[in-house]
Amino acid sequence: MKEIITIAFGSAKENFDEKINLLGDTFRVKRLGVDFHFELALELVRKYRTQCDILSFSGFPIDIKHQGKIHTHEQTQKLRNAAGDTPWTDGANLKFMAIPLFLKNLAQKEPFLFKGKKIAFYSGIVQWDYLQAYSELSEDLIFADPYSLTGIPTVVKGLAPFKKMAGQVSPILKRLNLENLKEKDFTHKFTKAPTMKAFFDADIFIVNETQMEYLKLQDLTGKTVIIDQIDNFSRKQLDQANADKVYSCFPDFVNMPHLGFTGLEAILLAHTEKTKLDQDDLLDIIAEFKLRPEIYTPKSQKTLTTERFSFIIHPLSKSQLFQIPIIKPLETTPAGAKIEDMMKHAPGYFYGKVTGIKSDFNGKEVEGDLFVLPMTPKVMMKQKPEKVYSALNSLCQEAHKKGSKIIGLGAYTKIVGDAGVTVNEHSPIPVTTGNSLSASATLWAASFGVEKMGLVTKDSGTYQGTVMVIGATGSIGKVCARILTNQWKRIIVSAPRPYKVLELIAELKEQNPKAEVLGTSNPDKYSAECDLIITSTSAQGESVLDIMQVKPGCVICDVSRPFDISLDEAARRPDILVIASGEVALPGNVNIEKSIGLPGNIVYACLAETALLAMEGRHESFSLSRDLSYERVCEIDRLARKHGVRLAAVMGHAGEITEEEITLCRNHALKAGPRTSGRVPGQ
Amino acid sequence: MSKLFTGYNSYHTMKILITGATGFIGKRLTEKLLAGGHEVYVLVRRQSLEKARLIFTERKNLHFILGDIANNDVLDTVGGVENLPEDIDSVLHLAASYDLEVDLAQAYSNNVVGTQNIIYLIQRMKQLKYYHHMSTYAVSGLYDGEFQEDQIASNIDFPDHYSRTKMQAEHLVRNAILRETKVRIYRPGIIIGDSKTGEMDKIDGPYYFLRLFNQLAKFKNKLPIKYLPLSCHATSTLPLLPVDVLVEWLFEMITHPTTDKMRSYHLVPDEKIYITGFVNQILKHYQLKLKVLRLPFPGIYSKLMPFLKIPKQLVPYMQSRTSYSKAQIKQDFPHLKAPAVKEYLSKIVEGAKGMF
Repeated sequence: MKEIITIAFGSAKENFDEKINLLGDTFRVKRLGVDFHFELALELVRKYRTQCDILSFSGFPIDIKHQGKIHTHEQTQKLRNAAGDTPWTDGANLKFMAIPLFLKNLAQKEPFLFKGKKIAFYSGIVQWDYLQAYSELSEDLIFADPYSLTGIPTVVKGLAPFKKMAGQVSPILKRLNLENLKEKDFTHKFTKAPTMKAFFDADIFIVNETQMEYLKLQDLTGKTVIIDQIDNFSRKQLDQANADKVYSCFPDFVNMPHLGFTGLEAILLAHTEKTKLDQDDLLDIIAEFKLRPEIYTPKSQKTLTTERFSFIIHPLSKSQLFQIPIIKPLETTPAGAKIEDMMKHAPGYFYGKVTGIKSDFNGKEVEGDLFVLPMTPKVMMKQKPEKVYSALNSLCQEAHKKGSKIIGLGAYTKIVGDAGVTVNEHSPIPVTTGNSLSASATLWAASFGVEKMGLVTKDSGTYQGTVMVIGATGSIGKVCARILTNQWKRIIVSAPRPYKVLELIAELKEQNPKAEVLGTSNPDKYSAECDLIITSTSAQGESVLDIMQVKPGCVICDVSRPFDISLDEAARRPDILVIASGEVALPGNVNIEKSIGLPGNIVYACLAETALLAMEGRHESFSLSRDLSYERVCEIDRLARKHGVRLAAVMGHAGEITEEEITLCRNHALKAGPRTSGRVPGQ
Repeated sequence: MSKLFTGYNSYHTMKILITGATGFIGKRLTEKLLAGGHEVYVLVRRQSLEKARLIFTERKNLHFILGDIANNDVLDTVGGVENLPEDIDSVLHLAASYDLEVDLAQAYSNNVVGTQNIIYLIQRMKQLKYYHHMSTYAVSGLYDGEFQEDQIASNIDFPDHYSRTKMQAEHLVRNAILRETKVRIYRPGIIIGDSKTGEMDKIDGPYYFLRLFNQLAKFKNKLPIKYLPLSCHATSTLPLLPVDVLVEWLFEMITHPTTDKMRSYHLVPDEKIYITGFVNQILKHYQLKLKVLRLPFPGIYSKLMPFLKIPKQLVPYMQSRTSYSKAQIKQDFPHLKAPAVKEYLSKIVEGAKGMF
């Protein structure tokens, strides 16, 4: 058995003494924390160097390599000298490889973690070896070293200025008594100085385990923390500071997080039986282990924190535009006509809040900020998409500053250009179009319509009728077809290109072998047999269906924008229910501060998707571009049901469809005669 | 008597390993355990073996095991007097650096590293039922208020290396992973001489004052002062416990532990012994006509103390506002009672005179 003694600058309370089996060897690792007493550390090194195979030093300054020179802290050097012939390690080699690798993996896995974020270091000197890695993730690095080292409340911004400063003060740094660096209070009134503001405004805070013992952390609500390795004490501190999410760079494969980098490097050193490890030794070993970061979610002191999300809306018409108070007086003036166009230059702004959203499932509360982009659809579609993107991105920045973790695009803001992809690329927080829940809610509305019409029977959960999806090979159509295949006995898929239809038929049959699946490129062929028709085409308003041939009592769900079924066409068939979308109500005692153009507490399904993602802590670009994914629609459908989002309004081409209107439609259909005939009244 | 209680373990004979057996408390407790017929394994450093043999007369149930708690491997692997048997069922860890003036490295090595080494040792004892850990009331540091028996806090001030390292050691014991082994933590108060004989080993704690009064008593009629300045609060108390009482309590608690996994106890008297009252009683004993004057400036007092040959480390203890809960010990061992100070004070004062 090989014996390792770790002399740690931090607290003795975290001491341990354990036998560890790794790499086919047995090691005894003993940690001795000195509670920041340097002389004690020195004494212990002298006393125990003969009782162990390897000494490791944890929490003492590591070497700083700068402009070809190596700077070693004087006290660190004393420790090394005291070790005599006993091999020692400080974990710096391992960290130097593992931490940047960890950061790269993390940035790949969670792109929004670093994108456009400000990264603050309680001490950059302590993180010297990894600063380059951080600078590749964000340009905004802020260093609180002046305050940490001397108590002067100011910061250094940017990596180059920091390195320059560090180079200049390194002769002094080397001589600073480590014991004097204890207890830095980041809640002290000095830190409220405006010169420190940039530090506290940062999104991500970088700290190491030893620092956790002497830093008094500020309130870290909503902030992310990256720590080299995490112990129980750090967990408590981070709980208290209410940090949002904590990433520990120490790989959790050994299941001994307390071992730390120094302990692990010491084990590797003992294992190789060398006196010093070089990078190649470590490369081999690291390649063998899979580095998985440990993610710790602090047990928040506030038992249920309110997550924030944002949502962007815009006036859907000129009349809505003039509801903006400052331009309202201009509506009747000669300038009024030009205002609509002029508003393309106006910046977006914060509009109001949505409060009181509370999950039925776990009581988790979320709150939304609504932003308005003052462009009507007409103006927006006329613009260069880049211009709209940039306006949307400044709102994303604003939302991020207000603490939102995700932002949703409402109405035409998700139609412009590439449907959110570019906006998402430049946003500091994930962007979603909300299309997944929109699709889901529309199908809820369709089912609701079919149920209310009451003309189709249901057997063990399956509608005993026929459904047709027009434009079934498109992204939305395909998702609808896949969902409906599970719900209907007979499904007809229609699209202009037959080979695509054939492909889809095979796919649907595979998914539900019980369903009868037919294909066509002429929807009129089957329209007289269908109880539900979903149209999702890019026909740009051109007729896709002869409405006069449609079966009486049929429900048509028109998902296309612009609509496939015109208002006129719909009016010609009072016996057919034409649905445009389903809108939803959020769970809880919801209060929408200012009108979003829907009655009561009803919200757009896409807004609800954004709220749900915040509720679930799923800060990701869930729905982007014009493509929909079946899995995502099913998933958001599940989340909506779980948290209590429910269908609140069935929307037609001209606003909400009431139950009375549906009853009226049903009566027309019944009057129209036998439903199986396929005859159209009036012919 | 306590065998009548249910929920208690009671051994006819324990196989117990004792560290610190030659110390002030250790030698009395070891004698008692030996007399009780238990198999006692005394851990002793190689260089102290002779001394240990002088303290304990040879008996069949006494065994010496060579080792040192400050070593990574506590037990000497070569040339031991006897080997430690595998069926040790109890370990009593008394060894510690006890001295208010001890330097940090010494205190740390013996109290923290020593305890770590013992934990490592006992984690590998397959038949160990109980680990008895001697802590101290001083682990409360300068806590303001009633300190609970299962309470431990590091964010309070500690006046000296002794109390801090004992706190750290206790912390490690509490967090150690000891599967089948039950843990007992004892936190005795200030230990003074024997209540019946007054016998005491060393000048410590209140004895520094006894020594001062003993000297003043020689000039009792010619004293130029009328007041005795004391830096303490009106409510500051001394948790005094005579060593014979402590040993009796420990013997009872070790031989009849409850079956709970973890217990810690404050071994302090029920009586509130106020510093001012206690000093007045001693002054009366020495027939010194001095009045106690409470002084609010501990800083100045600390500077004066060395002139009186009293370690300044005592001052924070005199300033203490900590009281010690006894809820757990009263619940588990309601029959353990300490005699009142006035009953044994004269024995203590007389017994101390021999040391000055």
